[in-house]
Amino acid sequence: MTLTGLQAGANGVPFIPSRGVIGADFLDLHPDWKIIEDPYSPGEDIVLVPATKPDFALIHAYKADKTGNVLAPGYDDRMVAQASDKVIVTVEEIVDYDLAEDPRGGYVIPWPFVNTVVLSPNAAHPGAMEPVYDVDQNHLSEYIVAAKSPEAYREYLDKYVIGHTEAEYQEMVLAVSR
Amino acid sequence: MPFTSDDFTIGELMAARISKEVRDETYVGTGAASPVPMSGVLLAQYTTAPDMIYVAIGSDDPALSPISGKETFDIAQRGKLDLFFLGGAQMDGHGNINLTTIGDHDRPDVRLPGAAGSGMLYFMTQRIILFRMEHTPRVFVEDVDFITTPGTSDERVHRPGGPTMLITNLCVMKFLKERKGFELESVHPGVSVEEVVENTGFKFDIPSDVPETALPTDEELTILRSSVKEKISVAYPGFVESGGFGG
Repeated sequence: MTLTGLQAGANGVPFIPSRGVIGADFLDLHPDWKIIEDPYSPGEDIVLVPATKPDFALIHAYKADKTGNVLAPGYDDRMVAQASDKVIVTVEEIVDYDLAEDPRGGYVIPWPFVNTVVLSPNAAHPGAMEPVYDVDQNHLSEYIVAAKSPEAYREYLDKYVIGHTEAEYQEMVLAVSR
Repeated sequence: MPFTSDDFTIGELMAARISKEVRDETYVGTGAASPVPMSGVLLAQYTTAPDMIYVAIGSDDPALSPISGKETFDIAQRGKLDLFFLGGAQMDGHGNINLTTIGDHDRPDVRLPGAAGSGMLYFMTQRIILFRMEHTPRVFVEDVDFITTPGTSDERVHRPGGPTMLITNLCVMKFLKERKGFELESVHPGVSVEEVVENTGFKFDIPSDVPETALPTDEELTILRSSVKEKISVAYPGFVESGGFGG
């Protein structure tokens, strides 16, 4: 339903009806979703999912060209970009050719939906950027242990994040994984 | 006794059975972590259903995902997705699926990935095959801890689809919509009806005569171990390396 809310945001409408969901326990977790009687099919209920309109979207993608077209792994990324006010895209690589004309291996987010492109290889770490690189299981395991207590989490942040630049972070995690 | 055969693997048996459910000239989809359903669908594509449109959500192989995941959901919501596969950390006798949390929702023992579209797909796909490679009482429970998506709906809900079949490493069950429950259809070679009962936490109907699940033919095994295996080894290398295919 995340996609449904983003679709509404991208379309500029306040909500979108969605099939399914009625009878699911996670309806209780989303008090802003409403069940109404479908005005076009009396006797039938349907769920309304309100629009998601992010102030910022941070998207990591494969490539950007000089115009600001972006090659992203999924169509969903394009919808997120369209739904958001400001869009910052980090990429593995900046290329010389026009991605809109050569969208092989991904989905193009067209330049009007993109505000800023940042060259930032390996920025999905410790997540995956398939097929460029896989999840860093060791780092995720370290994170999961750290996330169990505030003290350990603080230590994790001090070790990897707070006071470190992106380049320092990448150096640390690449040194471990190699 | 668990499933036993010297001639084929449990994955091959399940894939061959699944392939019989695929209809030609329809949209068929699989989600993540589905090497066995993918094998079954590909087997059908190479044999009985050459003109179906197969969409493996999240696949990197363009041949296996000609449209995006979002567009696959759109196809389903339009009522045009004929067959899809869902698993669950827990499933109960009414076809309810839990993909959200084990234990108390606010302080869960296990946090699972979540619905990932199943909240809609389970209603709008014409036929859903439920599958699990682990048929135990911890998976097949009397009541799921959290209903991520329900097995049946009342008449106020537009629901053309839903579960039709459950296939596991022990057996095949049919889902009877009117009865909101399962009936044992067949047991795999070496598996007894009692063993299925012992490993299932919910009640289900047992006909007086329960046949053995149809065995994969030599032709099916040949295709599974060549063309299908080749595609699966790209999408799910771990499944192939761990002996998913025999021969």
